Amino acid sequence: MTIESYLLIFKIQSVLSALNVILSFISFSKRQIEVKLIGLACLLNLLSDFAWYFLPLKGKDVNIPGHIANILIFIIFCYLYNIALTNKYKRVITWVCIAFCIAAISNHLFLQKKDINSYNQIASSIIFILLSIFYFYRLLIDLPAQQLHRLPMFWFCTGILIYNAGTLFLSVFTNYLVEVLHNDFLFYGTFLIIMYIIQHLVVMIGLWQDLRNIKSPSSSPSAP
Amino acid sequence: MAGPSEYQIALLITLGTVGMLLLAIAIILFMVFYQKKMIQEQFKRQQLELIYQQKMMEAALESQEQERRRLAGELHDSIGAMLSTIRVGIITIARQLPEPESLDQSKKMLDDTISSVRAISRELMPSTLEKFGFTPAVKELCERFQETSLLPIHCIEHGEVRSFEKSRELMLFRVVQELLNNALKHSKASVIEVSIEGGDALSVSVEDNGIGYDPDAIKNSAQNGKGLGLFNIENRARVLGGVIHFDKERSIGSKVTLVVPYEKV
Repeated sequence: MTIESYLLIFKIQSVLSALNVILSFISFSKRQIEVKLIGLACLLNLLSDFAWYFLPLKGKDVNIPGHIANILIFIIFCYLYNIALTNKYKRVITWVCIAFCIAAISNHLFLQKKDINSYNQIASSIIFILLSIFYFYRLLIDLPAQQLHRLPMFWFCTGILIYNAGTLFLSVFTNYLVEVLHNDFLFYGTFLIIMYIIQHLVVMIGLWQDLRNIKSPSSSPSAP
Repeated sequence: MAGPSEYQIALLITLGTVGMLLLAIAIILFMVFYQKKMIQEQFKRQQLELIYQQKMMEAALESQEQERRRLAGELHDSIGAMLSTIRVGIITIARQLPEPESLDQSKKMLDDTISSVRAISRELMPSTLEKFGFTPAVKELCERFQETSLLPIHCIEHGEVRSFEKSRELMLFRVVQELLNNALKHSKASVIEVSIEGGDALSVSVEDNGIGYDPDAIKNSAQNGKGLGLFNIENRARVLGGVIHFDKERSIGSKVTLVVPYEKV
């Protein structure tokens, strides 16, 4: 694994993120709020990628815009799940969100102070895995006859679950990887980006389904 | 990877990541298959409900026909017979009176009543249908309506119309009866045409040159009791396994066609 191939995969990831932004913002006024939130998250991800490209050139090792983007993406995804769960768990999600934000800012200012704040990633991965499973559980109970594959939120949730499940162990061992297995770090970094690409691709299916639902409302995912 | 501990950590990361990914994929697959199963079960349940509803409707229509048959029998055999006996009595009394003309008015009224009772009895249970089948019964119905309404009602038969189960024939006859009634009462037509077509499927259509109507609007007003006739027609068509088509493209009059595949009747 070379740095060139890593950068190439990283660029592919950024392109996919940009594509998702475009797909989310087509026919903006007609799109569901979930789709707009996903578009916003992808846009923040894209801006964070740009920051990652350019900030080290100016002599800054700690990617502050990236960390801010991660916190904002966390808040957006929490809001997304709150809407998907029809505001039934608003209080719990709000408290989780506030606690995470405080912990993430504290971690950034006083604890890890690194380019990769793995503690934040561990916490967000666990939270999103639990939220995704809970969303699927509610989906089974509340909407038993819904056509899942036509539901954009199903794909968004699938993408988020796969990404966070795939990167959880990597986040847990990030410190060890940086300090001990630094020779293999590029390999693990590439794996992380591949997981991102998978997430973007799955989210893209959801965005495409949403566009299809807009174009032919008669085939919307409602119960048969 | 230098030492065994590093190798073990790498293995742990790999196994953990693969395990978590498999778990996530298993959850998603479970969701998809469970949902698919739920949809299939719901579809089956809907089918069963539909069959049940159809059977219920069939039973309701059957009991309605039985009741009509009983009423027709009572009217014809009991009241009709009694009225005929009274008529004979009046004629006998009239012969004994010095002025038999004084009973002419009563006799005429009695004759009208007997005719009415017969007509009601025939409408309730057409004997032609039971004796000769669907097409002759429809022809007789057209003739009868023509006599009472003085409108030209043409009954045209194309191809060979096969006979089928009596209860089904009766149901089909009721549809034609209702359609003709509607055309006479509401269409303000100057001519009505009933055509019966045999072939692969039985097709019956009632066409008029009247003012026409919007079946959807009438069906929507069914709550006021207005569209009950159309509702009954559709119910009967459904029980027969046929398709009813209201021609909405016409500029003049209306045309309603009922197509019933023979295998369904």
